[in-house]
Parts: sequence; structure tokens; C-alpha cells
Amino acid sequence: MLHRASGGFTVQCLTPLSARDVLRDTALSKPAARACRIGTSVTGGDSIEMKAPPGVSPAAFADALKQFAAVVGPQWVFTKSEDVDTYRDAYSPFRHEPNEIVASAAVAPERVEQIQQIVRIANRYSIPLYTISTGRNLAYGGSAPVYSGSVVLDLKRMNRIIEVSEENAFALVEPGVSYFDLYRYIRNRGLKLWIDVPDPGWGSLVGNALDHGAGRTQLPYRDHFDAHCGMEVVLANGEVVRTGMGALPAARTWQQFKYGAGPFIDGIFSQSNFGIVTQMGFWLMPEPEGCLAGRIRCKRHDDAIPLVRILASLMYSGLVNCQFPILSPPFMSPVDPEKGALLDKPDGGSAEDWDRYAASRGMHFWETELRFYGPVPVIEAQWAHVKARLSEIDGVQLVDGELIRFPLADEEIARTSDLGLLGIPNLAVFSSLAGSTGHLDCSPIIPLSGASLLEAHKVFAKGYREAGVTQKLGFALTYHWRALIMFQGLWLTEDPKENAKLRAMYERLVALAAERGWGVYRTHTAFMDKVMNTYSFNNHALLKVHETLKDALDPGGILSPGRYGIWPRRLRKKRS
Amino acid sequence: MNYRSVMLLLMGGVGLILAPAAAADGPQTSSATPSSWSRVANPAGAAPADPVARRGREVFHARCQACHGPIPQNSKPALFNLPAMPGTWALQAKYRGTIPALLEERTDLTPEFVSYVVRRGAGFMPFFRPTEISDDDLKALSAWLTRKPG
Repeated sequence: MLHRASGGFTVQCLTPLSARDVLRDTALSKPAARACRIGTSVTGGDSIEMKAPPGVSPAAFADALKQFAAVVGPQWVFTKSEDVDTYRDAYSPFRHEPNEIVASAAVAPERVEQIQQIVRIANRYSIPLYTISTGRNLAYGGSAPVYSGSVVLDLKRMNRIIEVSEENAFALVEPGVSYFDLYRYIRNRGLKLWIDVPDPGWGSLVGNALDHGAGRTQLPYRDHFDAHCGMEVVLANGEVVRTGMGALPAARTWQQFKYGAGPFIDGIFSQSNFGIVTQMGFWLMPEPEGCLAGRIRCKRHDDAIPLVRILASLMYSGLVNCQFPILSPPFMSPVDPEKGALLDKPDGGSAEDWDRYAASRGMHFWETELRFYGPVPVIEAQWAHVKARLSEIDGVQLVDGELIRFPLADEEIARTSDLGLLGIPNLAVFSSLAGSTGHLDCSPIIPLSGASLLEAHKVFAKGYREAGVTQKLGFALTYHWRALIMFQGLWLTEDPKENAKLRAMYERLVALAAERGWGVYRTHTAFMDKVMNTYSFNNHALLKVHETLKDALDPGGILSPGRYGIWPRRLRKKRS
Repeated sequence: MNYRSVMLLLMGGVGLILAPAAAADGPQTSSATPSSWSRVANPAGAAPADPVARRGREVFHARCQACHGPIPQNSKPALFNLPAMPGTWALQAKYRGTIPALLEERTDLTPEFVSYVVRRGAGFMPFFRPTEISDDDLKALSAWLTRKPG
């Protein structure tokens, strides 16, 4: 049985603690001065001992919970420790530490009308609500809030696929719909449509897009926020807004034209806390006839310059629009004494140094694989053109890869590797986490140029080395349009001391990037203040705009306090 | 089973990944039935007669199979060639054949242990919320994974 919230509650006040407080405490290596775990002893019957959100009296919290229960049904308000504990961050960098950020309770509505009532109740009692879609945003905070004591607004039950159009290739879904769900819906109906999936595929289309997530097929579908068209949002005052053409009462092109008339405001609901998105449209890709792979290898350090220049030109021309990594065996291999000596040089090692290093180990310097999607004669011609363009690089290896024709039978899918490249949801990426307790992702955006690629490899490798932290995985890849992300994976452990080093390393990576004009595009809840603090042009003018919007749209400050550094006025601290 | 015995079993027994919630074909217009993390609607083969076991098998298919299913033989390696079934792969590496890597073939699981791992996670396997696997579905899943052979 789930906890019934209809009975009596014994509630204590929770000491305020935010992710930035935790980071500050950690940075000073102080023991946690304030426990933020929820008091969880069950006092018998329906009477539950718990902690109220900061600044909310126990009586008020108990009243609010009763009213939430009246809206959604008592079985969908979670206050027992064993249930609330499942709203922690499974990949928390504060694992086993007393200052982990945790929720006070959770409420799971099923319909938009219930969300409207919940935000009105939350405003009445100043209850901070932290919205999650499917809660699977692992490496970015999972289902845990930014501000301790928040009540998680769990939208997993809002899992309706409202419309899928095969003719115009779009879907309209609620936040609880996962990539698996939409894939299965399409496949079971034999629709000739593809979705684009991130790694892994159990997350929410809405949640991933709102966090600027990306997938593995081609543009524009791979950039999930860019591929959205139209959203429905519940504002903090309970009002429902539809954006773009959805603002027309008799809208017939809500998922076909983004802008409507007037300002295009969809962007302010991504990586923010200005509203609760309850529906979102997505453009889908017609199933291609085939997918052709082509492998590229270059042998020298400086081949990065023409390689990236040519690929960028092809991307801007639309001839290459797949997602591809740019792997570097010399940079990605474990640091040995010779490699360490190169990284310790002031310039991080010359091209000649690195070429000698790679040659002595039989390594080529760069490797990537392109995918082309479409009619077979067309994609074969695309690859032939790419090969012709890249042949100017001395010694380049251009290897024809497999051609896959669609549709695939279930048995063929089961035998196929790296399904994300084919828009097929899977969970294989978790195999990369063996031996860890999860991971953090620190991915600065760097320019799409070979010089930047080389610089980023050396800067970050040197940064790890100076910090005494082993670099586990770092490489560049194309996620979004016209830039590279420099993925840095930090594998978490059971050891709090080791995790503290990883947190410090994360902050070091953010700082190293910002010093060079590179910014992190997405981050874990624990680092949101730190990351937003790097976007500081003109005395944090952008953050001031965010705060102005926050004050206007959510004057009570109830929605996801602290998300992406946006704090409501009552919790805002004076910026240094 | 107390906390200590659960931890001992975790360290020496199971490890990872139950991915958990209910079966059925796709999201619902009525959200009484949760969605699933399976690419296909229903588990293969004949359903057990017992309704709890049948439900548990559906829950496994919907929430666990994507990590704990049989490892397929891939036809051609890709640039990123990660094992398709992280849970099965991790358990295979851990037990080296001394215990079945497939959870549905295990005979040493207990309901308490299954519940513990689903709600608290293990290693890189995250935990799962009641909105993903209800308590009733968790009981059914536990019943399915601890059923007696034959």
C-alpha cells in the first residue's frame, strides 16, 4: 500500500539547504552543519513524522498535504520515508553524505486540472514544488530537487500520447511519456516514423527536451528542444497557456508552425522554473529507406584541422547531418609516463611530439563514423562526396560501413549494435558505468574547429592531471547544430572522499572551460549555480533577466527554486 | 530479512539492475496503468495461470527486461559497442557462471531482496518510484522472481 496522506501528520521544520550551500560546505571541508535528511519515523497509524519545507510551519505543511491528497487522491501523495527516498538522486555526487539534497514529500497528479489546483495550494502555503517528468534525468539530478525540502511534483502518471500524425510526422505528448512508450506506440501501429532517442531511452521526451538533451540520429530531430513544436504550460498562478499556434482556440497547426504571432516564448520554459510544461509537440523523422555508415581515420595530430573544417562545411551544407563523435586514441588512452610528460609541457605537447607518441603505439590519431539516412542511392552519393572531399587529407582512411535497410524485424533489432543511431530506445549506455555508482556529465560547448578540439583535449587532460584525478572519458561529439560538445564523464563511487574530489574536478572543468570562452550546456542540480555564474557577461545581466521573469511569473517562488541558478526573491542571496 | 543480511546478499549475491512497472501496450489515455520500458508490448511465450505470477511476469517484461534480458548476439560491432543488457552483463561478469546472470533463472532470490533492490538500487542500478512500480506490482514482481521451479 502506498502511504495515505489523509491521516494525522507530525511535522517539524526543515532547515533550509540548497545545492549551493552544500557545495560551499563541501568546499570548506566542514562537517555538515545541518542535516537535511527528512525525519522519517512512523509514529503509528496514519500519523507520520516528517520535516516541513524550510519556512513552512508543521501545521501549514500538514494542511497542504491534506489538500494535495484531496486533489489527487491520498495514494498519490508520498510522505513515508521509504517512498520519499525514491525521490532522491540515484546518481548523487553526495551519496552517503548527510548534506545530500532531498525532498520532503511528493505528489503525483494525473491531469492538468490537478496541477492547477496543486500550484494554487502551494502558493497558499508557500510550498516549494520541484517538477519532474519521468525522473530519469540521471547525471543531472534525477528526481531530487535543487532546494531541500521541496515537494516533488511527479508527472510520471501524465503519460498520454495525445496525437501522432504520420502524414505530417509529429507527436503531441505529456511529460510522463518515455521514448520507449512513443517508439512502441509507433511500431505497434506500423507507422513509418522514427523518433530520436537519447542514451538511455527510458526518459521523458518532454523532460529531455526541456533540459536541452540530444539524441543520436540526424538534425533537426537530434536536438530535442529544437525539434519541439508547441507546448502547454501551467503557470504558477494556475493559468494554462498554450504557445505558438496553440494559442488559437481552434488551432489546427499547433505542431506544424512554432511561432504563432508575437514573441516566441517557448525557450523560457526550458532549463528554468517559470512554469510546468504539461504537453509538448515534437517533429518526427519519416522512416528512411536505409542508413549507411562510413568510417574515417586520420593518422596525425594536425589532421584535426582539415578533418573538422571539411566536416563542418559538409554539415553547414546539409550533406552531413548525423551525430558523430570525434575519437582520439592517443588522447583517450590511459596516461602513461610519456603521455604525462607531454601534457606537462607548457604547450601540452607539440604536434610532432604527439605524432611520435601515437606512432610508437600504433595508434591513428582521429577516428569517427558518419551515418547517412535516406533513399539508398542518395546516401551512397552523399558518402561518395564526403570521401572525395576528405581525400585531400594525406593518408586518410575512408572505410565503407554497413548499409541497413528498413524496416527491421524485432529479431534483427536485437542483433544490432548501438541502436540509438537508428532511433531505437535501449539502455545499453549503462554498461559504461560498470564498477561505479553513477556518473556526472560535464560537457562544455566548444567551437567546431580542429584547433579548438586540440586545445580542449590538452586543457582538460592537463586539468585532470594537475588535480590528481584520473580522466576516465573525454571526447568531442556533435549533438547540437554548429558546435561540438566536449564530453567529460566523471564516474561516481561509494567513497565520499573520492566523490568530493570528483565534485571539485567538475567545478575545475567548468572554470577551465569558462576561462576560454566555453560554456557548459547542461548540468547536474548540484552545479547549477556554479555553471550559471560563468554566464556573467555585463555583471550577470542574463541572470537578472531570468530573475525578473521569475518574479513576474512566479511571485510566490513556488516552482523548482534554484533550477539553473534561478532563485525566487525570498531565497535569493546577494551576488558577490 | 534485516538490513545487514540484505547488504550481505548484495555484496555476495545479486548486484544490479532490476529495471522495474507495468505492462500493457503504450501509455494510457487513463493513467491507471503505467507505461513501460520495453520495445514490444507483451512478453513472449505462454502466460502463467496464476494471476499474481502473470502480473509479475508482465512487470518484469515492462520494467526489467530492457536491462536484464538475454544478451543478444550482435551481428556487427559498432563504433560504440556497449553490451546491450547492462544488468545481465554486469551479473555475468560478477558471478562468472556460478549463479545465472538472468534474473528469471535465479532460484536464490527472496521477495525482501527484490523489493530492497528495486526501491534502493544497487551499484549503478538506480531505484524506482511507486509511480513507476506500484507496491502491488512490486509484490507481483517479487513473486515472479522468487517462484518455485516447475
